[in-house]
Amino acid sequence: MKELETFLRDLPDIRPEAALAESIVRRVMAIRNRSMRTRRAVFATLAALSGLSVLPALYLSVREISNSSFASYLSLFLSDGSAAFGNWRELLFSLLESAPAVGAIAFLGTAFVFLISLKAFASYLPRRYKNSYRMSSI
Amino acid sequence: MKTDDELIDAYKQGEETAFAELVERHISAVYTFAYRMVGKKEEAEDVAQETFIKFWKSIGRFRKGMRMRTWLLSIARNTAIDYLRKRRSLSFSEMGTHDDADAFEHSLPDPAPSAESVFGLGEDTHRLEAALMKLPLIYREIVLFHYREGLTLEETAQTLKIPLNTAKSRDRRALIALRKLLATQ
Repeated sequence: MKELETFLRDLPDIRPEAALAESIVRRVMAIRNRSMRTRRAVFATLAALSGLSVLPALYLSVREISNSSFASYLSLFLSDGSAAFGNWRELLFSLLESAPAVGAIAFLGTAFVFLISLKAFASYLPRRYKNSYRMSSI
Repeated sequence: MKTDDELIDAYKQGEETAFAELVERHISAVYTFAYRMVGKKEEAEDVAQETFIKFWKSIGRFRKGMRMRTWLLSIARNTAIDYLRKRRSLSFSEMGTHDDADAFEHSLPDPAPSAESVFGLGEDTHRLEAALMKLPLIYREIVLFHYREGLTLEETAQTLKIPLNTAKSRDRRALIALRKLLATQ
């Protein structure tokens, strides 16, 4: 005679509607596709904005270099190497003082954001899957 | 046939059918569990659907070696409880605190021991199903995890995030309540 515990263990599964599994998978795919579309839009916008900002930032950086004494100090290494190395400490401080920090940061920052957002955008492009989804193929 | 771990790896690498296969493999167990928690077909379908969506969203956290069935049913249990709370038409027999469950158990007549009424179930599981649905939720979930899904009481306690002694106590009380319900049917 079966014990109650055995009856509980042997309780049968209750089969759901045949279409439930398929509807679940379709809903998950819809959520995933919507999420990917949103992320593509966000990263495309970010890439576009940062891409448009790269050239102005580069221009700013170049103008800052040309207006500062940075290029002159740097050229000392090429023109009079021995003097430069003899006073390397003073030269280094002068280089750091005159470095076009703002322009460099702006250019490197926008370039970095542009590249990262471009990469992220590409990663959310629709992939070719190994098998196209069909429940009937399982 | 691929294991659950292999299917998850395949899905992470872009194989769409892997997720569909996981759903096919576990849909019956999840739906059955959900139905026995909420008691209504349409809500069980909703719970099953939400369970797999939550599972999909957290698929990155699944580690090899974890039992997928247990993880899925844990999600199903929490989702079912949320549904029952939203329903707001709860009687203490549907979802109760420990005190409610105690009160329920004590409200049942204590018949003279009758092996026939319990063991006379034979192949008729409908009486047992009906009695199971009348159990307070905190007893029902113990029964479902421990007996129906085959988890040990330790695993059941971990899944339900309750102390082991509480799980043991609820298990004992659940069986007592079930026997009383079967005897009075």
